[in-house]
Amino acid sequence: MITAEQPIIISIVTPVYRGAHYLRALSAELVQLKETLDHPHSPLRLGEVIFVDDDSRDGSITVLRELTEEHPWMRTLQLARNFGQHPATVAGILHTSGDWVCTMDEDLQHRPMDVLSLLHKVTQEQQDICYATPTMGSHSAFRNVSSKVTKIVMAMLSGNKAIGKFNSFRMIRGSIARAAASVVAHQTYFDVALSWYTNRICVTQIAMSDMRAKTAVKSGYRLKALVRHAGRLFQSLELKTLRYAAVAGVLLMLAALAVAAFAVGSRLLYPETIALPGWASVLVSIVFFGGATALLAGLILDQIYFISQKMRGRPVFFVVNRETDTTIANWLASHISSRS
Amino acid sequence: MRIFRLNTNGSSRTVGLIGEGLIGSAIAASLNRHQPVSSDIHFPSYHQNDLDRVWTTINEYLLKFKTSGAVDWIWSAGKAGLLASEEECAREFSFFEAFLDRLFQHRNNCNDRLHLVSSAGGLYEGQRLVTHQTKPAPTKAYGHLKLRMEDRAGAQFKHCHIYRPTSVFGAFKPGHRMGLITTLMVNAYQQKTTLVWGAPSTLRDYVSATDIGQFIGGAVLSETKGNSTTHILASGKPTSTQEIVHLIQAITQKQLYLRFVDATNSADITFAKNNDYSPHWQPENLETTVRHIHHQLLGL
Repeated sequence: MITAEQPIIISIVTPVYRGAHYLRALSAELVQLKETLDHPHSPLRLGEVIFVDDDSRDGSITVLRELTEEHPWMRTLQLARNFGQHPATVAGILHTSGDWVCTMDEDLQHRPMDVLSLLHKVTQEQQDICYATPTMGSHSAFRNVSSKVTKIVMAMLSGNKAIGKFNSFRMIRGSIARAAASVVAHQTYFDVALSWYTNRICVTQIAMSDMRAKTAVKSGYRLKALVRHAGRLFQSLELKTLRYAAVAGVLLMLAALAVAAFAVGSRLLYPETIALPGWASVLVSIVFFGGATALLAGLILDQIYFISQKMRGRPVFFVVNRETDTTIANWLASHISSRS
Repeated sequence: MRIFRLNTNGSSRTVGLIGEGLIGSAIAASLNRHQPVSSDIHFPSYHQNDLDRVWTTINEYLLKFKTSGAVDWIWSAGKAGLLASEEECAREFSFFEAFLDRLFQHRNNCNDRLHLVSSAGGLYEGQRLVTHQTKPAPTKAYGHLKLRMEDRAGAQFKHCHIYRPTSVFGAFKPGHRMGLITTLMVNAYQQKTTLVWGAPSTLRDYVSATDIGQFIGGAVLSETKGNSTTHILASGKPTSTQEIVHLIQAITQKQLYLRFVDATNSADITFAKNNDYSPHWQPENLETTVRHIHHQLLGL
């Protein structure tokens, strides 16, 4: 809860997987960001940076321990095994105290000073989440295209327009970040859980480049992990196809009734037009029962979906406090303009 | 109140435990693992009028246990909570002072050690990312009471050890405090509405009474040098009420009925777990502890 006398705290969460190479440079930029935010007249404070080591095994943990010693506001969580980027992000978020939580990668694709742009955009527009969107594709051409295609297909199937905006560089209102993280299950896509809490989502363009590709360091999360990532997104969505199946069933049943009415009418009024008796009954039966089956399957799947959403902890409502957004936006506006 | 006589590592220790509530009983359980000889002293109301009788009994036990060296006194008594009034807090402080006065009167030996269970919630209310460097800034009578008790104890004892636990929860014990988490679990089974002081997004740092009991018990028994210390007993993981509710619903598979009272104590209190924590303080993961308490509750 934010009060007038207290600073507004920003927490940064960075999942780390095979990122030892970048951590020193990243921490130097984070120190620079902290100096900017902890300005004497600033209402803001960079309260903590939480690194979540996702069982890197490349020496990342040693570097992180050194950084934690040097900067007490940096903290490290070490996961027991490699869980993946989303679980690592969720673990970090569940350890934050900030009014705003920013998640960013460790490989300098996301630059700490861009946190200010994200925060400015999200508070200026009184939104709850701001995703960074790269000015150009930030990864390899294959990864950029496959990611885009996956998101378009998922958006079409689910009707969730926010999917196209999803990016791991995001600024989230702290209470919403923690609430969504607390209901995330094994196969829940974190950004989908966020969209259960708010639809105030904006994007801002930020220059990004794949530093791993440039520096020829192996990508932290490889193809297998990315496929798992897409699978998690698919499983988390409210798939409209379930409802389409029920609607298709109703339409088939109506069509079957229409054909049956036509066949009965023909039999009574124009019996001479029926060359081969029996076909209409067979056709009507198949179409009707096919439609009924599709309708029942759709209804059952819809109920299963409803139960699964309840079990996953999808909220009925959620309360937020946006009172300090204008204060933040005004300070950042004056600060960003004075810097430029 | 209880007096323990323990034999550890070839030496005998006498420990006086004042207050066996949520934390006190966990400390007693921790001490009991060392198979002590212990004696209960009837001290139900913690009233000043009882002090002379209680001290006569304490002295009898100290004689019976042939206590010659320093005694470790653990103060974990207290009825006041975060919303206690000025009067309740004043009464509690006056009793604490009276007890310490009697202690010095009867044991004019300043080598006795005091272990005082204070309250991080009361001292750091409304502060976030608290570390050992953060200055306590109580906002309520309860917080001021704890600070005064710490000051008084520190001034009177050369060897004073202060423990500041955060939001404590523990096993179900009818008629006793058990903390928010256990209360929610019990009410889930009894289909009762729980009154929650705060908002769903209010952040607190939950630690189990068992972990605190083990830490303080261990500290009491291992303490030989006697330097004064202050320990913040926090998990370092801020947890929202909503997260707790979701966790308990998942574990109990029961619907929780809640009424949130957005009172003055709904401010977040969080702790940053840095390297300045005692290496012996290793609190168990929240979900594991909640599951353990759930098993206890079901009698498994």
